[in-house]
Amino acid sequence: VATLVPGTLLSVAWSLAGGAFRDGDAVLRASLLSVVQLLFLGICAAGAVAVSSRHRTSRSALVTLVGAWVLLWVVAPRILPWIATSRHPLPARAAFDADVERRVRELGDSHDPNDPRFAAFQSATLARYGVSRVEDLSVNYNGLVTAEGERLTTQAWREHLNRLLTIYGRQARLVEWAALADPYVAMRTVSMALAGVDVAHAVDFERQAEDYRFRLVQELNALHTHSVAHARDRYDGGSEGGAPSRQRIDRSHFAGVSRFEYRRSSTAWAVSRQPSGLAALALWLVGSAICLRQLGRRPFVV
Amino acid sequence: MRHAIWFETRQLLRDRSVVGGVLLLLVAGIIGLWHGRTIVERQRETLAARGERQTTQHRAVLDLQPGTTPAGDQLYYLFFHTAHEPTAWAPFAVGQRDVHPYNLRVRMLALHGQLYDADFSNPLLAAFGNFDAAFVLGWLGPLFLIAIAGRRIAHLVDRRLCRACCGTPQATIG
Repeated sequence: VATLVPGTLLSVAWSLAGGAFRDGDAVLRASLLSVVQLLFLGICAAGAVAVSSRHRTSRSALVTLVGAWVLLWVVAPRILPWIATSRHPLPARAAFDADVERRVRELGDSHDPNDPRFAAFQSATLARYGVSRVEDLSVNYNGLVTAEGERLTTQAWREHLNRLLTIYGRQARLVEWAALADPYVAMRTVSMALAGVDVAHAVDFERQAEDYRFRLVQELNALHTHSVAHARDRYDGGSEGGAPSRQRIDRSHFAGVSRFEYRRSSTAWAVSRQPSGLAALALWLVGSAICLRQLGRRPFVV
Repeated sequence: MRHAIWFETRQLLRDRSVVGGVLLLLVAGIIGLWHGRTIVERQRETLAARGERQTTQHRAVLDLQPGTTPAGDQLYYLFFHTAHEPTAWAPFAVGQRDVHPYNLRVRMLALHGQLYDADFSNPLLAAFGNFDAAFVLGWLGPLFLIAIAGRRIAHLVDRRLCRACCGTPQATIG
């Protein structure tokens, strides 16, 4: 009660001040978070009772409990990253970037008219439109090339990023397994998911931002392809201060360009991302319940 | 006074749990140093490879361009590695070395964004913190000190020795 009353008062006051009660999903998340915290405190209390009942003096019980706290709350969470990174090492940033660059180079240089891959793209495009020169296309070929280049480099980046995220995922699995041995890690995993501050939420936002970037660039490339004539696409080689001879398009064209809107993930999604954390918490709960039940059956040692 | 310190030390060392605690702390310190070393060694390896990485990247870019390409066009694609070498004390306290950049690759383009190109680290693991020697000294050490100091006082109180002890002039102890 001593822990619960100030904590509850604080969080309710905070939510009222921030107007958090107007948001249904946030209320659901906060309620579940409170339940998880309550269960966690219950597990702690049950553990303390179980340990104390096996000691003759209160001082030795306290020593055991503080020892367990240091081990599970302080030391183990710091040992975990070590185990996780040595079992599933991440590539060095420089090596990763070099790999991506090599892949992009393999895909061809869209700026180079003699690049064999983009020469193949050009002949395929010409064949599709049934013409023999890019100047005869009904659309602007430069826009098509940029869009294709963007598609390929994005694909290369995403492939490599997914590889990296797979390693993050493996490391996270290891932490989730550790939650079976450490209630603090279990509570932390589930709480972070419910609060929307875990890696799954961060990656979800990054994906949305990257999808938006790709969509935006391709929309601009489509504008380039359909609204800018190929003949008027380049400067006339005049001096830099000269008036641009390349075509400008009306601002109304940009009205249709999409805006970024963050899709907030639902509570159900957040929970579904952390099944093992939840399972660990449930196991700890069942374990404490069994422990307390057995304690109730036998008389105290003291 | 010196006698008093000697006496207290002997008393402490007689307590098996204190000796055990000191040994544990020592082991934790060694583990911490070792862990710090693995992190810093990895960074050293990455930094050691930077010369070769830079040469490979430069060659790959320049090979695609004819020799007559303007310098600006060449520089546009070239990355230059920078290095923040760890000091000899870095394994002792990793601090934020694992989340902040130590091997920035800079180029002529998009200058400001490059400053934040830190090395990869899983945010989930970074949030837990490192088990380095600094953690043992700053966290576990004081905890242990509090525990044995509290234990000594409690011991005296339990045996009702506290009043006798504190009431005795210093000369008698020494």
